Amino acid sequence: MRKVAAATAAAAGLLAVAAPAHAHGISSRADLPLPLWLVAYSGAGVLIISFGALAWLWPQPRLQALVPSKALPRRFTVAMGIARPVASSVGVLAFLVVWAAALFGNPDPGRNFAARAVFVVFWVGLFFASGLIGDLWAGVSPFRTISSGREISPMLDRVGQWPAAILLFAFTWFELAYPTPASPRVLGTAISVYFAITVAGLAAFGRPWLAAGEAFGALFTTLAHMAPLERSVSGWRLRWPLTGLPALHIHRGTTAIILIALGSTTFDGVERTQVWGRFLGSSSGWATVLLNTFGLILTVVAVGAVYYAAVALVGPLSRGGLKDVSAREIADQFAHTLVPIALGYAIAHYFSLVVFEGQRFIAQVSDPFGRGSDIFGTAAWTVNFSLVSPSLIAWVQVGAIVGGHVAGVLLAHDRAVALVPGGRATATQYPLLAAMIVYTVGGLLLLLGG
Amino acid sequence: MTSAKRAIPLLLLTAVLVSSCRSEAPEPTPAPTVDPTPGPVALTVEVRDGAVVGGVKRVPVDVGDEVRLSVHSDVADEIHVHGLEKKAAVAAGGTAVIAFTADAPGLFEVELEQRHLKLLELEVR
Repeated sequence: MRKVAAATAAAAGLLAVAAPAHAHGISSRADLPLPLWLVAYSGAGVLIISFGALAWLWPQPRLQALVPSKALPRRFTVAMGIARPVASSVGVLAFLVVWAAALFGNPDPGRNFAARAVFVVFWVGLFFASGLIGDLWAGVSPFRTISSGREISPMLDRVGQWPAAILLFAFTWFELAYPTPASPRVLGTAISVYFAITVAGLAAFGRPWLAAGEAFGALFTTLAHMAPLERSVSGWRLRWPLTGLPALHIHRGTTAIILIALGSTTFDGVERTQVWGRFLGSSSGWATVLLNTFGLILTVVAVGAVYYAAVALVGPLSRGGLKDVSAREIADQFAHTLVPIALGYAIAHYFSLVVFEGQRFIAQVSDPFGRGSDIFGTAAWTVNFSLVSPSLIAWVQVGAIVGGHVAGVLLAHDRAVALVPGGRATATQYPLLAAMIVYTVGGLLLLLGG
Repeated sequence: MTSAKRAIPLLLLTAVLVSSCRSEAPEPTPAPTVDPTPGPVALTVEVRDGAVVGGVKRVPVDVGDEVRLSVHSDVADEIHVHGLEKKAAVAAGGTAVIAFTADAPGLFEVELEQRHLKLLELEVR
């Protein structure tokens, strides 16, 4: 264990001194690095849980079949039916106010609420809410509200969700590689561009664009499959978390969406390390943007490569049991296991952002244009940095990463026993388990650097 | 699952458990190097030719410490301590001093605002 600790410390030394987040340009504070002992023990815990699970878990697929969802009482469905138009109106109003504030409000990113509205409340907030509660974006999305609901062209068959994947990557590039994403005018332009693309997509393809091309809808709906609240044709249902994921339909591009979410969050962590700071050196301006772009692409590709390498081994390890199933199909069959890992990473990296920048948002929402108004009376709210201690943050971070890992392992096991005939399910799980250990330990090591 | 199939994962599990058990007690978080003399923590940064002389350093301080940051810059700009939200203007060839209390835990970036040049990282524990 000493050698492992020493090796980890050496690796950590490289990553040791972290650069605070100027991710999203809402740089305020970054989390303190995790203590080494916590990372080492968590890593060991991850391995123990993984191998224990492999040895003892259920031999029959369970998550989908034996745990049916429960219908919520009619009153709930009725209440949601009333809430729906209110939610859509709020969504449209919020969108317009944020857009207007960005384009016409105070150009100082510290005074204008648009950056926090977009990057904290919308992006991170809905990311968390979709995975933990349900598909809230589907309820408030102004894009859904303005769509006519008709299908003009069956996009999904031909290109799957690739348009959404490409747009999602563009957003993460804007968030992480572009130098000033929080600058109100820049953000306003970005919102305008995205709105124009969405309107064009809706005009050309109709309702299918919402799933195939609207990047946030595609991602949040995917994430919502792990959430307990489910919207079905017969009304609202409650299910055990994760049990919706085996039913996630993997179109072309869906795996890319999940990998972009996971990879971009990983790169956010990489950007904060001193190794990356040294790599950027004294470059400035567009040279830095180019290097960060390269880093983002490389990280997403690396995360994807780990996954595809793992699933490529599933077929051969099944000793002929899966000889009629293509490698591509196997990759699709396991893609949903990455969703909780992506959520775990997001929680680990952005929990404190929500707690602290969320407070700043509470102050700024009373003065959205940054011109000195105080609509809700909260404009003087100051951020309470002792609301959560660094120690609590550290435990949340570790818990989220390890929790995401455990969920991924359970889902992968369940799918393997459903998919692989002839009792070879255990053997086929090793590669994917190894991939998840790489993600989890990698994620923990990144947090070591802060 | 047959006992033979459980063998491999169980072996791996045992290996991990055994190696974890031999580990030492949790390492205490290393104490930050804090200036033992009473009074503010004095920090100096010099900016020359678009870069920080000596490189960007991370400085550990305790929550509640008084910090006195002097920045000498060959260009005019604004020094911004992010998070703690302290700002001061610096003239070309001049020195600006910001005195503040590090009253919140976390990792805070000090930057030359216009040039987005990172000057220092303050690790407040």
